[in-house]
Amino acid sequence: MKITSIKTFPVGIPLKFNYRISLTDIVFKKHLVVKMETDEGVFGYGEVGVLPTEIGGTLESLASAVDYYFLPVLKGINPFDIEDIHERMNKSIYGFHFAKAAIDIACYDIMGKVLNLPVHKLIGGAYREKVPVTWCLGIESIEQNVSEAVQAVGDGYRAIKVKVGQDADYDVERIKAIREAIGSKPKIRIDANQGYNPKEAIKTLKRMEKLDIQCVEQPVNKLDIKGLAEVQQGTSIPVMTDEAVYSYKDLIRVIELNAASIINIKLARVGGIMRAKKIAHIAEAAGLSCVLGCMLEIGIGIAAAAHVAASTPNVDLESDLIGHLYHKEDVIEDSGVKMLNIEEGDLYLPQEPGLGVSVKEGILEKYRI
Amino acid sequence: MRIKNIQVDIVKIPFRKPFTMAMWTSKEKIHVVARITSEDGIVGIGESVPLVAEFGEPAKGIKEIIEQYFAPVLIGVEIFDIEEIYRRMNAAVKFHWFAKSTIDFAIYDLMGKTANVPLYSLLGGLNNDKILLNWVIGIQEPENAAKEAEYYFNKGYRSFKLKARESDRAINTLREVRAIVKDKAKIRVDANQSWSVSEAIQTINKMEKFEPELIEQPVSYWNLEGMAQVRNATNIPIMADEGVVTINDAIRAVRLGAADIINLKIAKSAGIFYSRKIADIAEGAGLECIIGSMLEGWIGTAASAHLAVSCKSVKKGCDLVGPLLHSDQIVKKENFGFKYEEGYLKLLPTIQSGLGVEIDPLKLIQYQEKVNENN
Repeated sequence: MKITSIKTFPVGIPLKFNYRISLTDIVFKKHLVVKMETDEGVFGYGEVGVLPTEIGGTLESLASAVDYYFLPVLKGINPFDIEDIHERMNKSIYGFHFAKAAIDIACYDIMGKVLNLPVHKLIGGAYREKVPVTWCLGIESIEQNVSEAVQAVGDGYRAIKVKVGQDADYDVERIKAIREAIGSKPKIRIDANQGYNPKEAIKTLKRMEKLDIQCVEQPVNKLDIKGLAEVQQGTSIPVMTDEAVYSYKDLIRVIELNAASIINIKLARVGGIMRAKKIAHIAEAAGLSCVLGCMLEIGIGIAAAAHVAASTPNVDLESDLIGHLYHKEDVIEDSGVKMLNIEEGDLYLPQEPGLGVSVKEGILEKYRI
Repeated sequence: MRIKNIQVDIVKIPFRKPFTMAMWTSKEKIHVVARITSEDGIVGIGESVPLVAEFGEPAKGIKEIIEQYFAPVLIGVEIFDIEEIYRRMNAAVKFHWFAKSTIDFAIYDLMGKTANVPLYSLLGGLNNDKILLNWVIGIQEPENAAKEAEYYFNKGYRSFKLKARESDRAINTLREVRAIVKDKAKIRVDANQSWSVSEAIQTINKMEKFEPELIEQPVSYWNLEGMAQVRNATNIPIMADEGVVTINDAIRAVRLGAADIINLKIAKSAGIFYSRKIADIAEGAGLECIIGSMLEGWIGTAASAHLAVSCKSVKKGCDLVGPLLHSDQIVKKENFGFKYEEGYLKLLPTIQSGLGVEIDPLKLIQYQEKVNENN
């Protein structure tokens, strides 16, 4: 089997509301969707949400990387030769993990369809049938956070993730209010998106310790692994990396410096399913947990992450896979089967071959930029 | 595609000539052969070859573990749910990597056969269709080792592994073999944990002028700190074998800087499953791997070969010569997926699905150890 073409669909899909994180506000989400075709008629899709502040690369540059750099070196290659595919892409352009991830995901979609198996069966099997997920609260007013948190807990979410990192005092106030409102049972995780410096992080976390925080995500600058280690050692709240782990060597460094207990893996950032599994394996050997995050992907990207989360034993905390809910419209068919539905705080895993989602190309065209 | 049945047999096959390494000399090899049948009627095959002195786990023990402890918890499990399969095996029995690897190969064979693709397609795809082999020269007088090296050099081998124990004999053997092959072949030395840290440092420094490619497991398996010391005090790459068995060992080796290369032996490390994870750790840390051997027959060698051709971190010679040392095989000669040729193990384009080898039932019976018979 050979890859014959890779079509890019740069799309922009409006969100249901403004989403504020410590780095930026997001109202309108850009995505790179790729469709990979083969000489045997089987085709696959890949998708990543695009966030230029997170990783270098704009929707335009990522799409043109696929069109002008990756397609020429991947045409004629077997999608099953996934290691070779990554090597070819790496030899072609350094970085550009978002684009590499989209292509990687499309390859796995094809592999699964050819073998009549859902992707999770190719990468470890159904270790879990559904993936527990967090509800995410942005940096908003206390009233808004509290009412949203109460609503989410009522809907069955067992873990609430709260964005922090712009103002330490306000952060503590908000978390206190949320904890009081939802009671002691649901888990609260905070995500600073690099918003603190190490000393500030330790001081702030100490104030939150009795609020029973599950973990703190990326408290400090992503380049400051030593600072991360300081925070990990300076508080009893476990530290989770997010932006800090982009490549394998970042994770090795985190392990060597004992800088974190949990690794948040985002397929877009690490460069796809193949790379995500390797990162999970390295983390597993070092005794670290993982979660799957997202760049607010839509159904294709969320499905890919769900397959990784379901097949990986050490993804044993709730993942952030609700990106598809934030969009006004998704590109995948609602097949009526429990698939990427979230019920009682669990994301249901697609069971059809490949990623297990059907893409409505009309929608891709509708939102094409 | 659920597991329906697991059958275990023990066979004993003589070597062509007695083989000596650091801990033992043997004239025959015992193989534990597993056949796992799925509900679709497809059969996957696996084997392990116990090395009791180095790793424990005698053959009868492996058979008992599989039949009494693994089979009850694996019957009915989906063959592609490999993480779950291992969770169950690990929950049932601690350690016992050889027993687990016997099941592991058979499961991966089943996966490949069920999916109707060669196993390497499920392991990341084909990177290389031929594997550079090391001819493994057992411990013997240096002159005899040199003669053996010359013989196999003329057959096309360009990479040699010298088993070592006593330092002086090892240095002399390296000198003699280097004189034969000159700069046309790589030579590595495998001490199988024979030396203390100081003896290792002195021996390796004396060997340096004969340009060994690498030194394998110079010190005791548990002494990763010591191995790091050896690595820091010498100029030859150091390879970990017995020192890196589990994925946790691999992380420790990385933390301590104990090795430049890891010898992945799929039996020692419990299968393709864990070996791939160790390869991921090596890749992440910038280390190389090679695929080693317990001198398995064709089943274990095929499994190792699929891993070798799909693993990007494998850059140097692999030890997959077991079948060449055995006087006979229990697999069918027709429909074979592999070929030994001029110092390489080559993948044939006609390779069938799964491991690409099939058991010859008559040979299995011929060499079968009747476990209940008195010796």
